[in-house]
Amino acid sequence: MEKTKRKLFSSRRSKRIIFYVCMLAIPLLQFSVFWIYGNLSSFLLAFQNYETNYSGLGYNITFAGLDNFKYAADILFSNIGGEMIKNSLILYFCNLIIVTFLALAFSYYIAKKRFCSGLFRVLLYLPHIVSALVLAVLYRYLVADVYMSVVESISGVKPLGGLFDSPDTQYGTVLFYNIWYGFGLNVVLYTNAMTSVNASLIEAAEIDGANLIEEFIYIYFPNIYSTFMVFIVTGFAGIFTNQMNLLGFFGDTGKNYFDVFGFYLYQEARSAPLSDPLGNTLSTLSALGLLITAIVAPISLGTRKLMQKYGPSVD
Amino acid sequence: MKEKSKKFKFSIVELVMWLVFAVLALYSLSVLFIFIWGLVTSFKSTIDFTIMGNVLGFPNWQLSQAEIQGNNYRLVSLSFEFKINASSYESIFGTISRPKIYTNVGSLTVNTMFYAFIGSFMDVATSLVVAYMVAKYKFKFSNFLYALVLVLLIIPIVGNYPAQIKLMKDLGLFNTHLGIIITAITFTGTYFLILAGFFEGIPDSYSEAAEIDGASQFSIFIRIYVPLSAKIFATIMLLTFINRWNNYQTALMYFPSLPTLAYAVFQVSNQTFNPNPELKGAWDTPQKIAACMTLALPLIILFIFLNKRIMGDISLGGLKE
Repeated sequence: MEKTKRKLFSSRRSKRIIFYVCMLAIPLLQFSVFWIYGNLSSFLLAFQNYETNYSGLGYNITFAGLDNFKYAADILFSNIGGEMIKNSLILYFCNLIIVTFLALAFSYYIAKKRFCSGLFRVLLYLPHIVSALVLAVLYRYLVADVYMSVVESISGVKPLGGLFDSPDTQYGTVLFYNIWYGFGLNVVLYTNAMTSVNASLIEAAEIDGANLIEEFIYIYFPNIYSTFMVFIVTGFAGIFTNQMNLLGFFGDTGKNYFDVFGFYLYQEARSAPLSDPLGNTLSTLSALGLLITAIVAPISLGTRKLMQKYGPSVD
Repeated sequence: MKEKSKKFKFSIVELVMWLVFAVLALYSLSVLFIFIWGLVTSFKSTIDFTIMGNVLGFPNWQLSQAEIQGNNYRLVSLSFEFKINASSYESIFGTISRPKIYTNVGSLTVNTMFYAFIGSFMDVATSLVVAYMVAKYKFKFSNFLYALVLVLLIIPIVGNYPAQIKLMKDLGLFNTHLGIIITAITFTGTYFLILAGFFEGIPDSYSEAAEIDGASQFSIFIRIYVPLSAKIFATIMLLTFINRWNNYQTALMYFPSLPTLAYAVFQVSNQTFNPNPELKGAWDTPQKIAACMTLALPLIILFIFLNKRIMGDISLGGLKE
């Protein structure tokens, strides 16, 4: 009897294991090739130097040591690199302070099903249905053609250019757009998290005489804290990956008076060669990517740990 | 005194909520304004918009004899007929070449549907399968996979474009339809976590009962859990489809000879002259905005009919249907 039971059990377990392995084989193979090998290649590329063959066909690959990292550090810690980091940091803190605060307030308003909340929810989500490129183009012409026309009709003098045409106003105009655009998705995700809060908790708070703000601080926020934490932590990576929609605003030929790392890395990856005596190659970009990851990863993980340790508890 | 204090607190809270309403209303009006302005402008002629300066009003239907209102959309469809140069690269399988191609609305739409529909299906189906395995097969490797996805979401891998492009070229997948399919077979995203949470919420008694009846593991998955996950699968696939429909940067980077509508809109919205060299005539703001509207309008229409499903109750922390 015992032997039969053991046989049956091992047969069942074997079937489960075989099925498990078969179903995961292809996704894991893809992951191994494109993520593990891809990032390993990125890692190796950072230590390689490609030199064009004497014949002009193909490359000689040599070990570059830390040369590519030196070029990458020159970019990262240069004046231009510093400006790019500063531009991204301004956006990050604007998102952290303005967008997060307002998104939480908007979400709470919608979650409490106040006046016109259904309509607001739909309209807030609408910008995220449409391509960021479309919105960027619409915004670009609003702050150019419409702006110039409105200023001319008010002052009688047509300005020389729109808000994108001047180095003094370009960054602020792009920043405003990114803040405006950032609300929608945040609000929808926070709202979804808030609507999943246990109704009995809210009723108990109401019975205890809590007002709306106290309900938010003591009931809603602790319950959506995990969602909040995801936004804060993943936002760090955005400092070096967020392109601020610059490609949509300026394309390949437009004049942007400022840059951010996300846009810089994307544009360079499209055009950088494998071999260049000046060092501005794909290998340098890989090294730059690794340097940035090495800086951001511990900050992301550390922030997550701190937020988990000191954040509010559902209990 | 306490009553007064309570009333005072209550009125401050109400005031705050009304302030939030005011800001929300302002924001919502700005969203409506930008879309309506775009739609109205897409029907204006260059004379109307640029020369006469009618930037905010409705189209002047009587203004021009030479330019017919609404012609912008016809011009846009013609402007999508542009040339993409031949290209080639070396892979482990030899030289892979792409001939010179001329795009048109038809080919752009086909490429877009392939990229958006097939790509999103492969993406979500892969996430579904792996999420099911992780949720229902409690081996140590399942825990490892779940933790791995979490870590990948938190730790950013920055600047691996060069290596990805080189890898795609080495494998002969760069600029190919097969490349679109294979790169979509991925599970390392937020939706994996949502699906895993969903499957964990389904009792194991379903599969246990089916096993007692002699069903195979594959039958249990296909006949019980896949139908149960149909709704959430459809929602996530819709969201992924929208994302891919709008994505022009990935197409630009990895599939430049398989241009999508978004890619074409990107190309034409940054041109000073009409992208189709055989066409003469203005290529100005109204035409560029009309190009953008051809990309946006199908999704806006989709959103009008399916907004409840698109905005569905999917949260990062779990699931509520």
